[in-house]
Order: sequence, then structure tokens, then C-alpha cells
Amino acid sequence: MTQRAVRMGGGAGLVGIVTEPEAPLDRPMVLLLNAGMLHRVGPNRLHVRLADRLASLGFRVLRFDFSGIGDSPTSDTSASFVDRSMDEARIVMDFASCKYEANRFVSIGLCSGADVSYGLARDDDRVAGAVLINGGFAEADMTAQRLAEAQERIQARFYKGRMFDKGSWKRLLTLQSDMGAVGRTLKRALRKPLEKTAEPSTPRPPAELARLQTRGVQLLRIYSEGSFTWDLLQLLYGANGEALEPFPRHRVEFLPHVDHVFTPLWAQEQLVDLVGRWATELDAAQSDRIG
Amino acid sequence: MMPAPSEPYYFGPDEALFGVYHPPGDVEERPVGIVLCYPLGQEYMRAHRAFVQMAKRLSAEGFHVLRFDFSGCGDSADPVDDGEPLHRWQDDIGVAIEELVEGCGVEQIVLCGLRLGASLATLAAAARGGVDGLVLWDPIPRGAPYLDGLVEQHAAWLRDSFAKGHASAGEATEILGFPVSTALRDDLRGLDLGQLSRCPAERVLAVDTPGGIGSGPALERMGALGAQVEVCVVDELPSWTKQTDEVGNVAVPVRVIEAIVAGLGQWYA
Repeated sequence: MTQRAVRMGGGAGLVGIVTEPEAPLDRPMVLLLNAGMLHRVGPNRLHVRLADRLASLGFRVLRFDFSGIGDSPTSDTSASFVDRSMDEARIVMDFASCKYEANRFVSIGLCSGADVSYGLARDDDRVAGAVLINGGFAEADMTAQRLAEAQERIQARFYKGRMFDKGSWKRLLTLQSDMGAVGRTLKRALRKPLEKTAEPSTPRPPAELARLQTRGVQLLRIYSEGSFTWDLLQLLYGANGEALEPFPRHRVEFLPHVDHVFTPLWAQEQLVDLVGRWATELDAAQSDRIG
Repeated sequence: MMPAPSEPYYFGPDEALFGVYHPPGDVEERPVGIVLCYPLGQEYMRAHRAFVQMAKRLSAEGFHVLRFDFSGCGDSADPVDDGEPLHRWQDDIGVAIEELVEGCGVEQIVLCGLRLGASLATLAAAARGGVDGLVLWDPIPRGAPYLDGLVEQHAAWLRDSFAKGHASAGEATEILGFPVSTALRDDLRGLDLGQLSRCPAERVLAVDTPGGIGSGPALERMGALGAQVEVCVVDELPSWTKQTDEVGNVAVPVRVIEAIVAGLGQWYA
């Protein structure tokens, strides 16, 4: 396996690293998108591990920086982050088509990268599959109210898990805990029953999922227990994302005990295994479909 | 002043090291090459943006700048052999120096590092000689307390995370998302810049922030070995130690970078 640095888009363009497999197979090229403002190595160097694993499975992988992140120059466009990122991802796909004759892609993103990954799968026919890790929502679905509610839910889950933990009580009683955070959570919990809450709307999958299904696009959604996006998914699509069940090409995986950015090494290994297996199965499924 | 476009590439044996070369900007070129040495692990993640900005600022002042990832870190390839990592990383610094000298014909070399990157720069400079200046940004003078501090940070993170009760068994084999081998632990416990036996460079600029752990005895030792040591204290919060669950929460310590640029500007006026 070899790595090569590339600049894409002409001039001082976007910076990326291509990981070439020793034995390339006729498989989609994988694009690894920035997680938030972290540069292309990903949180905890996770994207490097993912690239290495996928390259060992015969995939050519390109992980790169959107403008203003890592080594890529800033952009002077006033477009939103997701719109600008999707435009830049298309430039990257054009580059890969010319340079590597790639015409099918799999996009992988974590957090904000997952939202871009979802948008690419929805809007660009070259994307055959997408991995959406702790994210993968349309901008219109991420209202301030929903985000706030998701944050409240994850705090409630966290403290519920600590109720019978002796260490947590000891730290609380000896004032070693973050008393500000505890106070804010208690205040919200006490206030909540007094507030009139809106009736929850019936979870409904977006109409675009049917179009993705028809196009044969495979989606793998991965959510970790320590991410508020798991709560957001349930607010949007019901318990465990049940509203997505009618879509067989839309798979949801939940990873317990894992934080938002996959800090434990065992969690990183779990993610890399999961994505590697899915990517291999996706390629087999699409080859069968084409055949 | 606009910095010149930077060039990302792989260099060294088997082209295993990733670096970005920043050529001198549109000003009078200084025949001085600066090798930037990142910290490691989670600190590397948080310092990356600051290093990009520092490289741009230094190149805009006419310096040749090479920032690179140590083997097994960032975009560089993983090493075949994980033995003696501190020595391997010092060798990497040597490869980066050769790259600047041979590629750009610079006459003088400065090593500039943050945290463990500063310590590695000091060790590499002392071992190979020929380094004109050292910039030590919050260096790690002794490895044992540094390692203990990281282990404590990891334990504190684990205590307040959903991963509680699901840690790796036994001695710390990972810290805040990055593997820590037995060889690395052993190397770190043996690191002590106060025991230097050779002067690392003629000039040393130590930049301390409130987040640093102090490097007095190590600097005194360098002074005793013949280095001209300057200490610059900058009251700026260190972004490289911040623990946060927010993805992408990075800050650029502008005042530290300006202090380093000013110090190097005075050295090579």
C-alpha cells in the first residue's frame, strides 16, 4: 500500500492523500470527508486507519481537506458549509475521474462530514454508497429545537447510567464533579414537567430515501451511544430509526459504550471492521445487480 | 504579505514521511531552514492548525519552512519496527533536516517544536550537531511526569464517558485515542533533558505558556553546555491540552506564534 499527496481543483487547490492498494480491484473509490474542523487524518487518526483497512480490501481511498481546513486554502464563497463542501467534493470526484478513471464512489463522513456524505449520496449519481457516522441528516431536519432536545436526551441517558455508580456519587458529594453541568441538568429536569411540550410528530422518512432506494444507493448509518446524533435519529425516525426499516438498502448500526469520536482503540477497531465488511458487501451486491 | 503556496509531499527513505514545504514568501529570502516538530497524540490533533499558521507566518518572513509528521503519526506511514520510538523520531528529524539542506540549500537550520516535539528536537540537535537554533514551545523536560499526566487525563476522560467500564485491561496501552506501546512508555520514562551531555544549539528560545510544565533545569543544563538561552513567557491558553467533546474545537495561539516569529526575526535580522 502506498500513499501519495495530491492537490485537486487547479492552482493551490484542495489537499488530499490517496492510499493505493497493493492489488487494486474494480471497486468504487472511497472518499473520506473531514469531521468538523479536524484535518484529513480524522479524529484520533481514525481516517488513516479506515483508509489503510479499505486499501487492504482493494479500495483506492482519497481523504482530503475541504477549503479552510488542514492544508487546503480558504474559500471566498459565501455558500453554507454543507453546500460548499458538496461543491468541493464534486471537484474531487472530477479529479478522481480524470486521474484514476473512477466513476463510482463511496463517501464516508463523521459528524458534519456525515451530513455532507448524505447530501452527496442524495444529489450525485456517481455516489453508489455512503457511510454516515454520528450524523447524516439534511440541514432542514437539524432545527435548533431538535438539536437542543437531542442534547437534553443524551444528558439524561448519561446521568441515568450514573445513578447507581458509587464513584459518581462520591465525586458529586465531594464536589469533584462538574457542579455547573450537574446544576444545569437538574434545573432542566425539574423545569421540564411544568412546560407544555409539543406532541411528538409521527416519525417519517424523507421522501428522498425512496429515490435513493430506486437508484440502488446503499447507506450505512452508524451511531455511538455517546453521541447526541443517536438521540436526533430517534427524534426524526422513531425508536432505533424504525421509520427507516422499509428501506433495505438503508442500514442502521448502534455501537454501545462508544463516544462521539471513537476514542477507545477497541471502538476504532469495531468501526473499521464494520465499515470494511459493509464496503465489501456493497461492492458484491452492486456487482450482482449490474450483472 | 502573502505567503507562497505550500507543497505537500512524501519524502525520505521509501517516501514514508509526509511534509509540507513552505517556500519563502515575496520578501528577501533568508538562507535559514526551519523544521517544525509537532507534538504527539491528541496534542498533535489540536496543534495542527496552529502549525499551519506558524509555517505560513515564518515563510512570509523569508524563511524556508518544513513541517512534517513523525513516522506513525498524522499522514506519515506507520513504521515497520516499533522499537525505540524516541530514537526513530529523532532520526525522522534528521531526515527532515537533510531534506531542507539538500532541497533548498539553506545554510542554517533551526528546529522548532511543541511539547514532545520540542524535546525530540532538542535530543536530535544534541545528537547530530550542526543545528544553529532551537525554539522550544512548552517543551517536555522529563518524560515520566508527562506520561503520568497523560494517563491521568485518559482516566478522567474515561470516568466521564460512555466508555466507562470498557477500558483496555492492564497497563496503559492507549491514551486519549492513540496507542502507547511498551517501548514508547519505556522511552518516555527515560527522557530527561536535564541530563543532556552535548549542547544542542548555539541559540535556544524557550516559549512558555501557563499550560507548560516548566523547563528550568533543562534550560539551565543547556546554558551550562554553552547555549545562549532566552525565555519568553506568553500569557495565552494552550489549545493543545484542551479536553473537549466538541469535534473540531481548535484554536490558534496567535500571540505565541508572533513571539516565535519575532524571536527568529531577531536572530536572523
